[in-house]
Amino acid sequence: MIELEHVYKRFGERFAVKDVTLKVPTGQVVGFLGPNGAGKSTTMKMITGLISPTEGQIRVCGRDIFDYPMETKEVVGFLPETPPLYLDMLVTDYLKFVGEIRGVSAKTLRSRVDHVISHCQLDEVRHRLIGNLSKGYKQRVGIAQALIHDPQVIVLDEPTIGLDPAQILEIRQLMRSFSKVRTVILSTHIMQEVTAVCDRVVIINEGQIVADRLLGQTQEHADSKDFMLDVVNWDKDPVSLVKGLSMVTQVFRRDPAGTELFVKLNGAMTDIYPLVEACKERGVIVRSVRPTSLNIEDFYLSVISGQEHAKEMVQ
Amino acid sequence: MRKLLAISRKELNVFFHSPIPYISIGIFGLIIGYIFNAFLAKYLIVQRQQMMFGGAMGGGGLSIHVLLQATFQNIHFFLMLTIPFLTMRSIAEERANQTAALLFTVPLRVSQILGGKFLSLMAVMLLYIAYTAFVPIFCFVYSTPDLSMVLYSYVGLICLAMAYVSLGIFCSTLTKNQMLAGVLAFVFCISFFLFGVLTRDSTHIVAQVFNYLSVTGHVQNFFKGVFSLKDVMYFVSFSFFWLFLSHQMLEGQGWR
Repeated sequence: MIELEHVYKRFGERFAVKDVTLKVPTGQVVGFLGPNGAGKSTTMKMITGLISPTEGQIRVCGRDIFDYPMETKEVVGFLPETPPLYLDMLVTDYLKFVGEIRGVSAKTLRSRVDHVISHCQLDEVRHRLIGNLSKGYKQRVGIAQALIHDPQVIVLDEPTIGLDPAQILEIRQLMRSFSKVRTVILSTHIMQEVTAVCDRVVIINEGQIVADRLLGQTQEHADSKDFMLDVVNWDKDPVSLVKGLSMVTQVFRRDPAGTELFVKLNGAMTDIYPLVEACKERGVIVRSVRPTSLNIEDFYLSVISGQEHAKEMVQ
Repeated sequence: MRKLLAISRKELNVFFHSPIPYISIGIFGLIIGYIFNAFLAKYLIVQRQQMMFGGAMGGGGLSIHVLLQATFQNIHFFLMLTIPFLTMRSIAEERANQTAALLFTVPLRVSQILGGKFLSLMAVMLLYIAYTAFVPIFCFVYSTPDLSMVLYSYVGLICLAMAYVSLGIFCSTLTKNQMLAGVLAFVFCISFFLFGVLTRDSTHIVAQVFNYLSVTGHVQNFFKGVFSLKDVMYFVSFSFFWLFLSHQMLEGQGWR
């Protein structure tokens, strides 16, 4: 479990992270999404204790990271943006070393090293110098390093960067295999990765959480309220007309060149029929209606481009 | 302690996977050998002259100890030149390669990191110092030098290594740039060496303070065969001082 309470991080005059409050329960995989320089990495560095927040509290597994730095670091596995590798070491030597400093007992060290090597598919390169490995292998050694002590909390900063598509799939599979007793935070630029791996997406922009949404089952449930309306008479500004209706919570034109209107019904509505009626009364002619889902890409773009939308979408 | 040793082992592992130690120990040995050879030649000439003129030259004659002392002083000098090149990477490289992010997110104390680095560098230095053993061995074969003097000289060399290594580690915490760290350490080491040389004969109070702070006078006692706890304490506190400053540097988070 990870808890952040009103966390701020200031670098000089600039706030890299501004008032972030977030609670990630055990067993959840959270994806941090956001443009470059949004504060994703800074937040992760604070959770892992690499840098300390200017203000606010961070708790990992219920323990404050200031009061119990050693104890909290013991349960966290961290892959920074640049994998922290010693290029002059062999893969096994390196993993053994990380195991030792992460406090893996001497008895289990060997089996843990073997475990992460097979898990991250490093068997072929286990006796090679890290400096001679390809980027994909280096990245996997970096991931193996974060898993060596079987951590309860795993923090991965852009774990699939620099990998080829096949490797990306393998790593995603690996991330999905983290059992339900662990808490995982990963950051990424790739939208599909979030839908493929995460239970929840947190969008960060300019140091603030601008959206926080559950995916998966919850998404299907939520999506049953989302419809695309094919509207005929665009000259009458249907967006503002429909927006005035009490039964909808959100309306926008998904594609400026298209004829479709995205509508999200409010929670009490179970049927689309009253909406069509109401539209007709206001003079908006609806040609067809189809249920839809906001895919993560639309979601991200709508959040980043127009943050006023985002406030409505935060659940 | 296990973690501290893990750091040391890692350092040695990385160090001996690079060509640096093999080349530098080779060159170090070569230089010391050359110097010893030159001194020995001189010593033999002087000795022959003494034998020819008897006591007419005045003085008590040149003993094997003078030869040893001169050689040890030069070993000191070349240790001072070598150590910055070995210590410069210790912290700076971790920062440049971003492996510092690993060390500071695992349950490790800064003291364990520094302790491990210090220990591994001392192990390397012991190797260098042990390599110079051919000098006293040669002397023991052909003459009868005072064993305690040789032993104290080695205590002195180990103390020196300790001092310069901790100074070098401190310089390495100051910057990401290895070369800069090396140059800084070099300047610091030279200063602590020269303070003593330049102020040796002055009686001015400031000069004496500098002379006391300098390593030169303290190590000279060891080379003369005088063992005093005061000098040992000087070197121990010297190392602690720089390691403490390094600790404070790393504990502060401005650089992360």
